[in-house]
Amino acid sequence: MFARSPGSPNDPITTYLDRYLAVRTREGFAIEGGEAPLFLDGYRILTRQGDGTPIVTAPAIRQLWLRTSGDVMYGDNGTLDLSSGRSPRGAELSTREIALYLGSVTLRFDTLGLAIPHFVPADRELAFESAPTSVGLQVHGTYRASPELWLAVSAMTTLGGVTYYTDRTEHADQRVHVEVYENSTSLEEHYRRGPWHANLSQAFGQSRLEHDRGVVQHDDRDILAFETRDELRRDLGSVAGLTEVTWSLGGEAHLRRYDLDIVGAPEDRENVPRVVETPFDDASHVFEGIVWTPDFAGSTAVVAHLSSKITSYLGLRLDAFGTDLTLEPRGVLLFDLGHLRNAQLLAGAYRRAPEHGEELEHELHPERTTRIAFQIGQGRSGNERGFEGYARVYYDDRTRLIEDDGLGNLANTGTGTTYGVFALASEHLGHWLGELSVAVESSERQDRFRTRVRPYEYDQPVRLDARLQRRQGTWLFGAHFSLREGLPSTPVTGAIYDSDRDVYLPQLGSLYTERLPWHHQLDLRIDCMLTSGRVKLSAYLDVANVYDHRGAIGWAYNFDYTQRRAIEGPSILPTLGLRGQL
Amino acid sequence: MKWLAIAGLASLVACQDPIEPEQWQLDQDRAIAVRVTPPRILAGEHAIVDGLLAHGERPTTVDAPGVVVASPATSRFALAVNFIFDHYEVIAPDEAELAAARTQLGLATGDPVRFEISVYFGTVAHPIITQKEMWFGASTANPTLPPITIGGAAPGASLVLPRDRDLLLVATATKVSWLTSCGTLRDSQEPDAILRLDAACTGELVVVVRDGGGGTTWQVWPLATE
Repeated sequence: MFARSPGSPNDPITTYLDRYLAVRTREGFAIEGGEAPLFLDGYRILTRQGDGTPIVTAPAIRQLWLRTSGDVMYGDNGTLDLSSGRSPRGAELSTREIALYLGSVTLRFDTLGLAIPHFVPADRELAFESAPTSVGLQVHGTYRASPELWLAVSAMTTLGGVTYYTDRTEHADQRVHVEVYENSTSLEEHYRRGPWHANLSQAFGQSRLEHDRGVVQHDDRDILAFETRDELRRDLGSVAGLTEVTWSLGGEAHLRRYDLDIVGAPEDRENVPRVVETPFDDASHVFEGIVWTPDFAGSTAVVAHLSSKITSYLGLRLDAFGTDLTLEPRGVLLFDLGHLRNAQLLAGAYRRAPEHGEELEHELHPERTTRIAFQIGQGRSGNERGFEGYARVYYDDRTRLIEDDGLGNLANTGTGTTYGVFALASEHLGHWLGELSVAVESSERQDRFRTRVRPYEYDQPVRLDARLQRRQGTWLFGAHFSLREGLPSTPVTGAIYDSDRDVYLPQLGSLYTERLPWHHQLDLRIDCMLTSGRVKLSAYLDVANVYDHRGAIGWAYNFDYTQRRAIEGPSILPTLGLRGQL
Repeated sequence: MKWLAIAGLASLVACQDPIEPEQWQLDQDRAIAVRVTPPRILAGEHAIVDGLLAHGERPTTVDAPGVVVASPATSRFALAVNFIFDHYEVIAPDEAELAAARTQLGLATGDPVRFEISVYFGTVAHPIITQKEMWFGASTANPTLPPITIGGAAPGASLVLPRDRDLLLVATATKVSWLTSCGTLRDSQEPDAILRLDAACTGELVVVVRDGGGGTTWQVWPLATE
């Protein structure tokens, strides 16, 4: 379903994020009221993304899953994990694996960016010196050394950039140049002997970002990362009346070195509204130096059957972010209700280290989240037909959130609350497959004690995603509808004219007291698949945003902020695709 | 990809028509420029403040401000702003106060000290709020109008310009703003702008020249089409 979903041609990640109603952010995406990091093969992707699209090429992703469970092997809650391998990390070894498997070699070259300059009218204030380009290479291989030992290696490299001017006369002070390079290599060793399991992995990553803006602003970041994530697990059998007891011990090290050279405007922060483009001559924020972010963690967990119907998971994680020591207990109770029904009660503490942008330049402490959730679900029988679904209610309490004090200083003064309901239902009946997911949520923040409680920047209280597919012989018909409430925005209440710079400076109302209009969209797709011997051919026609509803992604203002117009999202977009496979 | 998203967003914004009214359009109630005369004054000297205002239905006017205050109001030079009989004047502080300010700001002896004022025009119900900088401890006059050509010729006291053709407006200066109530203007924030008059019109053409150091001058021409 993910590979052939309408509206996001052959992009399983976008489909997956839509299905779980993730909110697109400037830096990636948010899930259940908080920023959610992205992992590839168990490790955080170093370079932050601007549109939520991972740098990983979609065809190379074999598995992806949203981690909102109480697993102590991860510090963050709500992560999206991508796996380029055949087997997700920590999965049981299959005895059917062949001895050597060269998983995939994928080369990606984005052609969409090359077309962008040709769509810009000549009289507009935008000129490209070089079109957006992106090239990626991904390799994955596994090797089964013995029945007990299984090894895997993954490597990924990507290179891209763009250079353009924000005026058509191509003045040097309006030039923007972005160049990104990133590579990472990870090794995995999985060992199993008798009751013992060992899952070890090491990763080395390097990334470089160059972002020049005008003649004075630049943001150059070199990141080196060495990380390891190891787990030892033992099946204990029955212990003290408990059955199928499993004990695990984990250890992690995440060492990163940031070499930063930054001259520019202060970085965007969640609690600082910005309605105008950052001036190209703003050099009020300067930082040059090397920052290390050592993060060591240890964890232990016990899984046991309390009875034939109740399973418990109890874990404890200890993180050492530099000099900050944090203890994160987590627990899950899983109830088997019979007839493939189950219920889950989850509670846990999570920590997020300060490691983004300007956070690196300050002495800050980790952000804290305490979560409690209850979920009830209905599984699908082995033949993959019938109904499947679950509903989850959740409550997150956030403290020590990193906020800007309005003068450019960051401090752990913020608090926040998120609560909501998420439900996903799927019905597979004959040739039909239908799926519906709905979220109703509230996510609020308070910058400091006694300040106004306000919505989170990406608070989207109502979200809905519906999909319908019908298979008819070699044809596949699909429809996708999404509905989302608008994101918060900050109103402009007036403007002051700066006579010397000949610009108007907006006066802003209370933070996030307006919302962008609702967004809704219908996508349709037809696939035709033909097989002849070993050759598989497929063709598709995908029409995204069929009725051309261009949702607002922000507001554009005239020079003195007396008039505004919505910045419209993408229009109707038909895509015709052909694919051959041997 | 971030760079793709940046370029895509820039394209989305750039590919939409500008939102009216645009900055070069005179027929709206707004401040076009604020002038302090002179913009740099020595200790004890006086400067006066006025502004060039545009109006929706009538020609531009040069008005005295309704209110002038230091910005921020807690500025060490707040008392430099004075209301004298019927108008505001800024009086530079004495040398001792300027010397103390230089010490606090880390400036060298004799360096000019920046002072910012908030200048209010319009009415209480519909104020036009502006900001203007000036300097204490130096003496400089506002710039004179640089050489200007309109359609290749030096302009007279009023302009009668042809229709249906691009007219090049040139001011030999660095920071120039052109405004008009007739036709359309391209590159209005550049020294070389293009005016096009497609219909019969009677109105005004304005140029404002800034020296980058607080100095401002302007010229208003009555304009009619041939």
